[in-house]
Amino acid sequence: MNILGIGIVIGVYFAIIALIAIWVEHNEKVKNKLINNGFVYALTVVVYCTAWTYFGSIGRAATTGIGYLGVYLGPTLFAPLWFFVLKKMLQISKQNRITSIADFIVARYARSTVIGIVVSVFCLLVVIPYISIQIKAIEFSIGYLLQPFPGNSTLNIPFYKDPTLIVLTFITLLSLYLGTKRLDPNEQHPGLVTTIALESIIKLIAFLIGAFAILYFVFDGIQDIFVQAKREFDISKLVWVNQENIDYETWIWIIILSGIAFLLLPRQFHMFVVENNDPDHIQEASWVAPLYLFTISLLVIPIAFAGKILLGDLVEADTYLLTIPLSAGYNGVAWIVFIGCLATVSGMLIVSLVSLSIIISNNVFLPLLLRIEYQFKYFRQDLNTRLLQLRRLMIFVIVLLSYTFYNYFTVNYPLVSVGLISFAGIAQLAPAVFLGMYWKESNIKGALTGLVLGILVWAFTLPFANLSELGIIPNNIIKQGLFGMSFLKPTSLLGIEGMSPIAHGAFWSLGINLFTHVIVSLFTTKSDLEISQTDKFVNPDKYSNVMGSPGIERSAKMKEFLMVIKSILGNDRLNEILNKFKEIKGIKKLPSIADSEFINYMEPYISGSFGASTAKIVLNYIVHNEPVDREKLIKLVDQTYQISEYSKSLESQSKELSRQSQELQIANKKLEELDDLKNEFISNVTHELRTPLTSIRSLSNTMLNYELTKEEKEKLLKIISSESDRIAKLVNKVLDLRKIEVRPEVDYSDFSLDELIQEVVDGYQDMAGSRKIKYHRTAISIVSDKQIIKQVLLNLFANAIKFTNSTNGSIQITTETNRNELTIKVIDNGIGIKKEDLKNIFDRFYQGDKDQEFKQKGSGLGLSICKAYIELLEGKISVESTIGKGATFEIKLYDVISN
Amino acid sequence: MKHNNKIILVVDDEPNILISIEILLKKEGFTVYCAENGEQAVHLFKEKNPDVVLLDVMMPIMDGFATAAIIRSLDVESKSKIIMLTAKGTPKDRMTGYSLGADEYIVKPFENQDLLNKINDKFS
Repeated sequence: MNILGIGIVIGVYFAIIALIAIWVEHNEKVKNKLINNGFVYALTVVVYCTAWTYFGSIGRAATTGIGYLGVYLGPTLFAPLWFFVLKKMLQISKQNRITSIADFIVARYARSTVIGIVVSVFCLLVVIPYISIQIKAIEFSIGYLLQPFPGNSTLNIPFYKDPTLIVLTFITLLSLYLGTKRLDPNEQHPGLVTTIALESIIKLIAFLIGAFAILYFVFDGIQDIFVQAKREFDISKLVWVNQENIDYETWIWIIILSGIAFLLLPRQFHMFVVENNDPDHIQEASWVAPLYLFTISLLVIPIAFAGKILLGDLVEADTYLLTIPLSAGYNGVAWIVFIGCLATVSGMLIVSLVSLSIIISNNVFLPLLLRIEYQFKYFRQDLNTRLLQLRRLMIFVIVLLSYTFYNYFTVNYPLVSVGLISFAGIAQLAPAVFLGMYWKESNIKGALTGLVLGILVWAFTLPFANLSELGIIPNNIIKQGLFGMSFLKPTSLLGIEGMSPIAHGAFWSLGINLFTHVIVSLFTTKSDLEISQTDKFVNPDKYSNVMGSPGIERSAKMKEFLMVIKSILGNDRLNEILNKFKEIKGIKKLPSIADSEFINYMEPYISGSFGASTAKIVLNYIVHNEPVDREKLIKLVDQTYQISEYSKSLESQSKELSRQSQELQIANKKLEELDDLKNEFISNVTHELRTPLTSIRSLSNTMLNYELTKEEKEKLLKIISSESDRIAKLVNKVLDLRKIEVRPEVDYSDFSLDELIQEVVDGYQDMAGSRKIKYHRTAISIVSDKQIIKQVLLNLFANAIKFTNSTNGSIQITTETNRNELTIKVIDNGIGIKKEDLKNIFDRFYQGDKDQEFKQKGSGLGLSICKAYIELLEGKISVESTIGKGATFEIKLYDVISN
Repeated sequence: MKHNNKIILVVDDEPNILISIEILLKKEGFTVYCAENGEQAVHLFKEKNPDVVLLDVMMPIMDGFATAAIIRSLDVESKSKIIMLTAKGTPKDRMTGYSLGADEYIVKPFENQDLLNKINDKFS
């Protein structure tokens, strides 16, 4: 294999990754789908697994047995806590537009530039060695691929031919594209998210392929490895925790440190918090990420054993995943492992570079730059562009620093525990972050003291001790202690011996950090801004719809304020934000004085792009802070909670109330209508019942009390009988109406419509008398309810007879079909219906105008029953009429024609 | 017959009701004229000058209230007694009837004796 081949593989790999990233960035639909997916989110947070995992844990397993497991167990054991801690972290971060772990701490602690610089520089110092071991992983992978086993892992080629530099160049370019293409106010980068998720998948698959090749091609399965291993060395030491390789104390510390680092490492925080789109994604992350870690860690031990059996100390144990396939001649597998290594390293580097560039530019350079510029009243209108350039520069600088560090230290010294030392370093941020989220008393003075002392102790007990032991710096301090004082020996402070360096360093640094943080916080006071900021972090719930720093009165001249903000946000973005403000407030022009409310509104936008620290500098420069009544402020902060809770509940209550009253109104109206209808109905029915009853009652009374002739009796009895019939009919009609109202089942059948019409016509022949009845019978079969249609036609027909003159009356029935539509018309030449009656004619008991000449007796229910029936069949009934010329009733039925 | 010189005008658009009342009053010895609507009623009133008018409220063309108002305007001295007959017995209807000059109100279906009592009141 040669350099060219490797160069091509590297080039092709990054080209594919870049193409996918570009495609995603330009495809809104895919982009939204991906960043709103919990599994993608889960896959991005396993950027935690670096080359240290990919190669290093096998090395650790080979020497310390299951000691390697701690770094996987930590995140897994802490995962249930994410639902509380991470959720709150997300809430705080989204509300305050936090864009990095450093920003988080700065925003909590009074937006102090000092703490921002401390945290940012420290992050850089901790991460650079960590990046350098990633470079080392690339370098030795390439080394083994170029000079096959048992070659030398270091290359003797001039740096400009070094493939590692090609890799670094690609990574840098990708980072620039994914992280600094444009300035996103929330620092969200969909392309980055996709790339990292993709690389996490590649990493896992490559690892699994390498592992399976070793387990099943090189060996005959896991059992085979264990049997052989048992013969070669004492495996019992490696499969359980014991003092010879790793003690419980160290184990527990590793678990704690890795649990913390999983959330707080700049790249982890970036993926977990900054790129998060939905707090519910924690759900998926909480099991996918541990499962991912478990899958990898499960295979580590057998691979380590396989390496020990096959290669032993011939090569570094860290390289077993690559060197076992190589030594067994599985070159293809080795290439896949190499690609996995590229994915691992580039994933880790890209996120680290992007997050560190945000941290350093927002918290170190920008605040310093603005401070100086504002000193000289120098405003440039292109802060956006300058910030992007600064970020780009930072990425270059960090890569260069890492590469330099790698060339001077990592190549020459076996910095085996860089990973754990970094973890212990990042853990120094934990007291500031977690106390800041949960402890109200925690303040900047405490946090800064704790951080600085913690970092110093960490530096002394871990990196410094490590370097001295390696002989890089004089090791007399290790032996005699700092300033010759034996209780200040970096590996055994206060004379405590017998702890592993990592347990010792973590214990002392974190202990002192936490202790001083608490003590100093308790004995010092907070500034106004800090009180306000503290509350936003400790009780984020109450700020869900409150912006800025409540309780602090501020004002500025609008013109000045906007001028400075414009230099920061740019004209377009500023206008967009201002328009939104006007829309919310419902105003057309901005006031001439920017008041607290306006400043509170603008604040998050400034800190969103440029960090909390910058926001403070900008605001301090232009904004006049009113003197604050401290008691009032403290009270306010306490009250805000209650007020916001109260107003929240009020808001929901009033919403509920207005919804209910609306419902009530509708219900009331319906009831009123119903009531009117009911009253009308009852009144009408009683009227209709009373009329015949009057005759019946009176006549029967008369018959009882007076002597009557036979003819008289007969006449009266006839009237009584016919009026009784009238009552019976009316009762039946009322019952019919009830029947329709309770929605009877429609009884569909296929029948001949013309036959039915003929039946109706024949049935009325007697009643019609000398009226002309015209019906041209045309055969039509329909599917509908025969009884209903008949009932309706009978009604219409009876009406037609009723309203036509018995001598020259004419009634015509026509049927017409048009596609799926059937029209039946009943046309008469009767008295017609008045225009104003037409619209009410189908209402119950409507009988036309009272003074209508030809008032005919009826229940007034006939047409309303017809309407109800036709509507039951999903048809329409309508009427047209000219007074004096007759009426035409029209029924339309749809999709009923069957022939 | 005790009442044969007394004239009663019955107005109702329901022929069967007219017949019922007519036969009852004739049996009681009254002289009875029937009208099917307000117009006829006014006409008959002028012609026959009845002692009592039984007036249905709900009628086509001209309802009972309007008819009552016209009759009252013709009968300035209030010699005739107007008894409204109605199937609607709401208090509001009663008030309208009284305000338009009705003397009595009877709700359908009525008791024969009740009607006779109210008519006889006029002559006692």
